[in-house]
Amino acid sequence: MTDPTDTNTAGDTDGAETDYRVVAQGVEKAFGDNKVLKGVSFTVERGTATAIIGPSGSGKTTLLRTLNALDRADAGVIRVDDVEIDFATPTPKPEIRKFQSRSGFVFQGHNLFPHKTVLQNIIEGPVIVQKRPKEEAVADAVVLLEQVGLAEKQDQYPFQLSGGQQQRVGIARALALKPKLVLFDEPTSALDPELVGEVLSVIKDLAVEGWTLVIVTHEIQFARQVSSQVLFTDQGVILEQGTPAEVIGDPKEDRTRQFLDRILNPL
Amino acid sequence: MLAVLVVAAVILGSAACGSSEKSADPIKSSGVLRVGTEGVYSPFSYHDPATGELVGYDVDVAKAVGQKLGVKVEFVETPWDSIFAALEADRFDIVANQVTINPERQGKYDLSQPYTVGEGVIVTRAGDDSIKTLADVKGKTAAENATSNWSEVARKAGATVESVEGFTQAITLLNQGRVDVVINDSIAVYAYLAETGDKSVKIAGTVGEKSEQGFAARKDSGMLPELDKALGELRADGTLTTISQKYLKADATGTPASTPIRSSGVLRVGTEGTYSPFSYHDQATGQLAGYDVDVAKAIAENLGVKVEFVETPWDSIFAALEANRFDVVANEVTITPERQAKYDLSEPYSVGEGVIVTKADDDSIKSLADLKGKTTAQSITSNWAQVARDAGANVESVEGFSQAITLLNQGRIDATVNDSIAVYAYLAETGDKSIKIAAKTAEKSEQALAARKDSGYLPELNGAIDSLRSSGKLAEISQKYLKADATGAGQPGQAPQAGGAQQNAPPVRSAWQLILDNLWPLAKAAITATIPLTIISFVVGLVIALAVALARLSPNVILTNVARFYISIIRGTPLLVQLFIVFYALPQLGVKIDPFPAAVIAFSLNVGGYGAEIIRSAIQSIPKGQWEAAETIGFNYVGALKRIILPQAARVAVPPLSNTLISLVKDTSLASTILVTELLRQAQIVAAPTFEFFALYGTAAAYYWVICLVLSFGQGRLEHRLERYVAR
Repeated sequence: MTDPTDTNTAGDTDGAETDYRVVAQGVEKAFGDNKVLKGVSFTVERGTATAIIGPSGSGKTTLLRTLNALDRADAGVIRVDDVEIDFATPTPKPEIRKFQSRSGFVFQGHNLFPHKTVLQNIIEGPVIVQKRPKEEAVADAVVLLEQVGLAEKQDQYPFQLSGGQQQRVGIARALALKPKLVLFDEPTSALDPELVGEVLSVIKDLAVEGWTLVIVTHEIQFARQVSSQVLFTDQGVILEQGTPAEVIGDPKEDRTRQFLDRILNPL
Repeated sequence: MLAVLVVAAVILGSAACGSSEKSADPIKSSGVLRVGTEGVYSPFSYHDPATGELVGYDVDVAKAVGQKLGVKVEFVETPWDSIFAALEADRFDIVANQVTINPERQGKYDLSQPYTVGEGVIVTRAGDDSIKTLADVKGKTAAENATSNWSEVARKAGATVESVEGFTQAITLLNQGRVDVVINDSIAVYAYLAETGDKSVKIAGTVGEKSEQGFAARKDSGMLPELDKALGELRADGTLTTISQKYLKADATGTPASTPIRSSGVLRVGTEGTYSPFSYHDQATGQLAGYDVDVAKAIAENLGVKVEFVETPWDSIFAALEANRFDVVANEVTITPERQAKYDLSEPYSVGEGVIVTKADDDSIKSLADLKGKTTAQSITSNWAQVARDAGANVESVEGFSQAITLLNQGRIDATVNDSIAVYAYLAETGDKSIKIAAKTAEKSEQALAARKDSGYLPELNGAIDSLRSSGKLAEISQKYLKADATGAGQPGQAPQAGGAQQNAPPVRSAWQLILDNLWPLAKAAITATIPLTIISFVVGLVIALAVALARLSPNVILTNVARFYISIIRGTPLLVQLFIVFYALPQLGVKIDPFPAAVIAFSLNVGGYGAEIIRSAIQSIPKGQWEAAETIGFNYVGALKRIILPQAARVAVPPLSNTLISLVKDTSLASTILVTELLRQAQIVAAPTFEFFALYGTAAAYYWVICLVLSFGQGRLEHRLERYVAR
């Protein structure tokens, strides 16, 4: 197996860049009257994994989606890699596309294209959008499939795979575009418990390899093991942030403590 | 100073030129033509009641002359009685008011070449039979313009002449019984009759003299060369005739009779093709034949032009005539006042009488009055439908006579009213003993060719009919098809000897033989019309449907509402009406589309409306996550639609779209109503003269079924292919 960092540009060997892959400042987002994000600011260091935790409805998924402009922030400045957008002012579509191209996105419900095989799902972006030669894209895809442990499934349709396998294909599809940042939206929430492990271990490997990751998750133990930074969101703000040891091991805020208590001791 | 001198010299010079060459273009050099006219002499010089503008034949001719000469035209309205005095007083340059050319006037005025030519006629009240010639006018009272030459004619004939202001006033006095007679130019009288439809007055006779009307100018005005040249050009380029047709509904310019048919080189004839023995397809040869068909051919031959037949169902034949699909209808068009008002009807070429046909064993109907409460079957636009309705019968609408007879035989109706000629021909041809002629309707019917109003075809058509009649050709054609002379020359409507005609009847084929003989013609109609019509309309329709569906889903409110409106119109109106609008109504707005493309347009728009909703719902059935996933791998809207959404939506849309396609195959049969010879129409053409409806419509149905079976099979294959990525 080839070293995956050889075939992507996600590694931290690019010394010319700053230390931050994501810089978000004052991000606001409302759906109608419902203010979901009320001025959120944070940074993500290159080559690190950041976990976003928090109660449902706290805005963590919306925050993640603004990083890919799947949801456009109403205000605030977000820089991902070398593209910075001030969302308070109108931005031309090509600029948004450039911004989006810097990150890959893994959905809670995988959102694979059901009419395409595993391989076709992965090479769709590289071949059709990035116009890369098909042979090259296929070769890369095969490497990615080996990496997520699905080399033998490349000609199957999504409906023929288990939930965990589908989600691993989803991860490979996101990586195939060679993004600078990979976003995970509760990647294991929709899975049967016995399938959670295989997905988490793939993500863990990515963190080890030096990809820059932002993961919305309810898996507290996983967050503690993988991430170097934990953000706890509550009611549209980041209530607490720091290392896993600080936020999970020794929370300062009552809200954080209550949340962790509920998650870790559900009964 | 020098400049002033030069200007003065130029002015003097040009003034000198003008006087020395007095006869050279005085109108052009003055830059204006001042025209004296009455303004109350319809249709020559009057004010349009709608616009109040001065119009009329003479007014327009004067305008056209002014245009030819490149000068402005100014009209000065002056009563006729003082119009020459005003001309002398230089109030205007010429009189344009139907000034009749006579020696006295020629002595006093410059008179141009004539621009109308007519003859004097004597007009009386319709009921007045006392006046037939000019001699009869003696002792009567006439109403005339005091200074018109008709006034002189009346006076010389011994009439008391009441002086009136104009022709309209004269006719009014005549109608009111205050005078007995009005003598005037035929042109004015015909124009009046055409315009008002007045039936209370009539032309009782002619006064035997021709009259020519021209412009009058002052003596030695020098204007005649310009006026005559302009009139000559207007006559040559047809402008004069056009203006004459506009106001007088006739060419009164004295130009040799126009020959629109001869000059076009072709006579396009609309006929039913399913009305035996007048217009039908010969069983043996498949050729269009029949009395009316042969008469039309003979007329074309007589005129030395080609003949083209356009087969059109009777119910839409006049709409097609109006839409200029052909020049004349040759389909036993009965002359009625309504039709005479709407169309140019030729002289009759067949004469018959109305008869009531019942089943042989039905004795309940013995007169027209007995039709009350009975059910009859008639072509809905035929005048027999009106006869039956007036008698109190319920009228079922049918496509033609043969269908009516079939319904009668099937016991679905009690009677049908039709022309004796048609009935005798039917009896002679089929030897049918199950029906009989139960009564006559006492009305004669005369059948003629119909052309569009003001077509100008009548002189040629009537001339040809006259010559066919006198040469015996007409009677010969009648004998051939009707076994009787029904041309109105002999004993019209005389019953031929039934049975005697059988010897000439074409050999009767069995139903199986008929089906066998028509398998290929029907298949050909399906292959050349039904199938291409379906495929082209469906493909174009799908493109429209996709565009409308996307418009409907767009965030743009205007686009959404336009799409909604379109869908609403298409789904809220019958397909047949849409077809008729494209084919029959658009020509009235100047958009004339041939039958096949018209059908494609109507069907495509229809598929577009229904397909749009199917495609919209299919697109909406694709989860939002698919759009988002496409966006995260870099697709824009079009790319996501093309690569991700539509391929999935297709799977959802295929079953309902297949329904639409299969419906479309059958709906194309409606194109038979707009002259497309597709499968059903071909079956109708063959079925009508043979009366083998079951055999031929059954065969047509079988063909439709086979086409739909093939499509259903294709649908199954396609669905199977599209479901390969779905868990079963």
